[in-house]
Amino acid sequence: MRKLIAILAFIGAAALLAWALWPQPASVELGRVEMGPFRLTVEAEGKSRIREVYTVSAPVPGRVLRMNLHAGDPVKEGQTVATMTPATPAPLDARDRQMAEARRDAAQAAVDLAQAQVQQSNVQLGLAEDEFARAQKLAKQGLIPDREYARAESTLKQAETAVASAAAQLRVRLGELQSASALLDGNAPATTDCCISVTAPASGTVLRVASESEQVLAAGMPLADIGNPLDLEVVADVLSQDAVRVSVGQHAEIMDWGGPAIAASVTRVEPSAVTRVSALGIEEQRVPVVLDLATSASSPEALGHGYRVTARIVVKDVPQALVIPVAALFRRGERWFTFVARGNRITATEVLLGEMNDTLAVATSGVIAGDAVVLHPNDTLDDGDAIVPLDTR
Amino acid sequence: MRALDRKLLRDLRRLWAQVLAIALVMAAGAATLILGIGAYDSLFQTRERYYIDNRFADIFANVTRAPLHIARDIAAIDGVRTVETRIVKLALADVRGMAEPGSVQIVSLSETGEQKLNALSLVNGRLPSSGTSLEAVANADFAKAHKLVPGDKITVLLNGRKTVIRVTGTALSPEFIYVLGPGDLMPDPRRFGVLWMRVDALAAAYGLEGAFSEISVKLDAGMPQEPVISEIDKRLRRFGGTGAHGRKDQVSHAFLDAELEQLRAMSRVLPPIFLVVSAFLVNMTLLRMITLEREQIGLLKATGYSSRSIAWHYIKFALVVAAAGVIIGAIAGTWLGHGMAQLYARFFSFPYLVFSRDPSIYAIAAIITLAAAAVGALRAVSSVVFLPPAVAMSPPAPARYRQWLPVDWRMPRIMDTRAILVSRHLLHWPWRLASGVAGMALACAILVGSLWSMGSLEKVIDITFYKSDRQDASIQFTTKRPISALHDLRGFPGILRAEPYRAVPVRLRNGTAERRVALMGRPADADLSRLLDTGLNKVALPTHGLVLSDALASILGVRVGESVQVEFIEDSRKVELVPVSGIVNGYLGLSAMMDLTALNRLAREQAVISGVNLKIDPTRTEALFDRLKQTPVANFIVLQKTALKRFRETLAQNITIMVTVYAGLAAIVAFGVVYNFARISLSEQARELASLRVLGFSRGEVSGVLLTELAVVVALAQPLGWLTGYGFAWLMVQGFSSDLYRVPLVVERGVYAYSSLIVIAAAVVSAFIVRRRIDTFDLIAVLKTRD
Repeated sequence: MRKLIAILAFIGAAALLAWALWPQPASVELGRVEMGPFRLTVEAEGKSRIREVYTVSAPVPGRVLRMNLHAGDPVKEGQTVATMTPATPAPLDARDRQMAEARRDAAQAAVDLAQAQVQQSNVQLGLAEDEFARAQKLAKQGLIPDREYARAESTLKQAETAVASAAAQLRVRLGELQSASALLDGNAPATTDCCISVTAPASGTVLRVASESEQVLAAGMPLADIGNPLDLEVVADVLSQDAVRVSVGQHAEIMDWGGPAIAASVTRVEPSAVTRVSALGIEEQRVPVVLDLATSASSPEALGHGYRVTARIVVKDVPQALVIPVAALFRRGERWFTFVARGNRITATEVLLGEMNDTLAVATSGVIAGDAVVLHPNDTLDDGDAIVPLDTR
Repeated sequence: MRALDRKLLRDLRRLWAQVLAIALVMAAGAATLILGIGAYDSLFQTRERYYIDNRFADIFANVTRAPLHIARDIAAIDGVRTVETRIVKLALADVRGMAEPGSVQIVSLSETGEQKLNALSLVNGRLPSSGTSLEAVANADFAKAHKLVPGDKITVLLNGRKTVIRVTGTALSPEFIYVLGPGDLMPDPRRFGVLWMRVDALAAAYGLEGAFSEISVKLDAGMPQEPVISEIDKRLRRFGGTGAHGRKDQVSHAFLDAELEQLRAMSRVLPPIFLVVSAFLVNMTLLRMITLEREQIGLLKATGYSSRSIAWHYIKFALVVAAAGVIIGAIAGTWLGHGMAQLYARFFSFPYLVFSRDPSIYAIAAIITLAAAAVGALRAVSSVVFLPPAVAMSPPAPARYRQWLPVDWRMPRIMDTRAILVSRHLLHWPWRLASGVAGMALACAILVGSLWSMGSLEKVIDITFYKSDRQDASIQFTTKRPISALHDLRGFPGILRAEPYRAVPVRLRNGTAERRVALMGRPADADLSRLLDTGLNKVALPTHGLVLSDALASILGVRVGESVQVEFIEDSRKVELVPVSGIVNGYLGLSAMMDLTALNRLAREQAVISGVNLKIDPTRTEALFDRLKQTPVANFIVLQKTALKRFRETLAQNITIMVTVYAGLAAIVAFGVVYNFARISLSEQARELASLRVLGFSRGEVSGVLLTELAVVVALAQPLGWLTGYGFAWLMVQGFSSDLYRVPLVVERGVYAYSSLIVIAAAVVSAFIVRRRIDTFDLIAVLKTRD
């Protein structure tokens, strides 16, 4: 009897000891390997922009009258956007004025000289005409040699051309006088031709007015931007090494603009990259990629021109693939492993992977659909350990 | 020599084993006392002297950028003795031979070379030459870790620009006794160091000419800090001042303080345990001795010795035992103290570390130990000293065993004679049984109380590194960056997953209660770094509103649904009223969290982030680190898993030492208690046991009686020990809980098992020693009746 008790006590103590020292199962979070969609995406920051923006600019140098247009106003094609009048000429300073006055006086003197010359040539013409008339009379009677007659004729002709030339000279001098006077006249009153209308080249909404106030502009200075804000596209600056995988026609999502995600598709990948300093302070080559917003609904009215957006372009979309959470993967050397939980024990299993995005990886071998795998395994876990799954919902 | 003294020496020689056992327990008490007080003393004095010699400042304040003349305003504040302005910045460093990017804290030295406050102790080399030279002095640990000698060069991303800096020497500073990088668990001198450069060079690099970014203040003696701090805050607010703080919030000082507190706790908790147990043992032994020598005492009294001298004789016995214990303890304590000093030298960068040899420590230890022994002795002695000689000389009346249970309760036939013998003997002296059980229980409790923390630590590591913050690395940006930085990082080699976070320094206020915390924003789909409560349930961050940890909520006195005032202290000084949408139990004390988008909206900023958490492919780390070293906007990269690995290595080293020491101490106590108990029990039952032997029982059966008695004592002590140990652990958890962090009370089953095993092993060893005595009984001598 005593022996029995002793043996029982001993067994009891041993059992207690074993129970106390038995390694406790580790608590782990489990995920699943399953057949599901897999997407590889490229994310980049971008801006929304109106597809066609028309910049209306001053066609000629002149004064633009105060514009009544404001950003947001609708315009129609051909509607007057701005009215321009010729600008007033610049005023003269003292030295210029003296020079202009001197020039005018000189011109006036030249006119007087020309007029005197006209008179002089007229007088000579009169004399030549008289001589010719006499010569004619005498020639008719045969009293003068032919040479005299010819000489009188040519003298007359010369005198006529001299008169014409003096008259022309007088006109030239008169013109010069007019020009020299005009310089001094300052703000001449408005000339007859009033205004030039600058019209909108297309219908749409005014996006931006360069400056409302009346001002004098050189030719080519922008006046206003016009575009159709419902016709938007997005241009995203994609890193050049990511842009390699982007091609026309891929689907994308426009996010982080303040509203729900908008579907879009890639319409153009520009062939050359630009250098940009990234937010990390490093210079990078970026490729502008143009995305069209899905036309099922016209662009949501809330999205405007130049708004910051994030574009997520789907470069690979596999509807059904065997995917394993990336959180379950760990490396041993160069190989990928995961802990597969069967019952309440885990086994380290090598997996071969295909593509990987930031949450899922495509498993090509090593696991099957439905396997439970340990997420973020603790570094003390080992093959064959007991586990108890944790519900971190 | 006087006769009594000769008797004393003879008694000591006869009972040398028991005396040694008791002396060892006392030595343990004395040693831990000397160690605790001694280490505390030396650490404290070293720190004080270092602070005074090197003019360690009292108040520190950081600003974004303040003009130098503000320093004069601050110097004019009542109570301020000295003021020094500096430029202090954090930058990424690329040291040759290290793949991971490291970081350095760069501190400026004034151009005159005069260090008014926080002076350096130059270890070798020289200070950097004046002007805009790109030279620096490194802190000693960092230099040692990278084997830097004066003349070596390191590359630092100074304000985003790659700069080659020449190291001209190494130094120590009272500001960096404990050098911990932001976000690190333990000092890692390879990855984080301190550089001191001339202020002109730093100012040129950061565009801070004529300005400062940090100011240190020394107060007049006895001046309270708070009024000066609020005055300084007022003046620095518009320069981006985030709030001045005193020494207790300075990292190095705070860790040193924590260490000192631990030492003080150790010197308060452990020695009393040992001394109480040894007092019990002295009491037990003396009582037994006196009972045995009743006749001799009577004889002595009859021959004329006074009661006082007899009493004094026995007390001397106790004092000699105590003296032996003190001597052993002093030697052990001093030796352990040296070991501890070396341990400190590894973590704390002191230019000198003195192990205080103040004799008063030893004197205190000696007095306390002797006092414990004397207390134990007095009780025993007083019982017999006042017996009249005649009564004393007659043989003692046989012990009366009576049925003391009121009910006539027949023992079932399971219990044989041996069991009856044992239980009767034990129950006859219930106090002795109690003290034996208590002593063993304390030994077990010491072990439970010291081993539990390992399991708890593992759990904290598991929760922190694998359940809530699972990232492999965190990049901290110098200033906030737009969210496109996240997309850019995703393109770096070896990045499997990147998640942004935002940390905004704010002041939370509710009524009069306020606290300065970092408000953390996390994305809604965060997987790497997420919020868990103590039940390990994931806490979803609501779309607006704050989630507070329960410690913070109770400090502010808010509940779910109420609002709290949030003041942004960095840039805009906005104050917003934000509702509290949730309260979470967590292990990290004061935290406030929001959804990232909601936080940016609250701060009226477009998507900006302060840093990114990363999951890294371990085979691509080299390529990744190369890229990271050239990222100008990062100023610190926390490598969580590397830090964890290092933490585990350090812990493994320390645990071996700790377990050995504590197991040794517990074994000494267990051994001492069992041995004394056994010896006393043996000498009491010597006649009975010898009679059994004469009657024909074998040696095994006879010693079985005694061993069963010991087994009962040990078995009873275990559950009590487990309970007491749990109590110790609970007390320690309460002691550790502070604003900063909380430790979960997890006592694994294995801890109880190991503690009991060690204690039982010690008991078994001492039991076998006693058994040998039984085997070598001189039966005839024992059975002789003394007349």
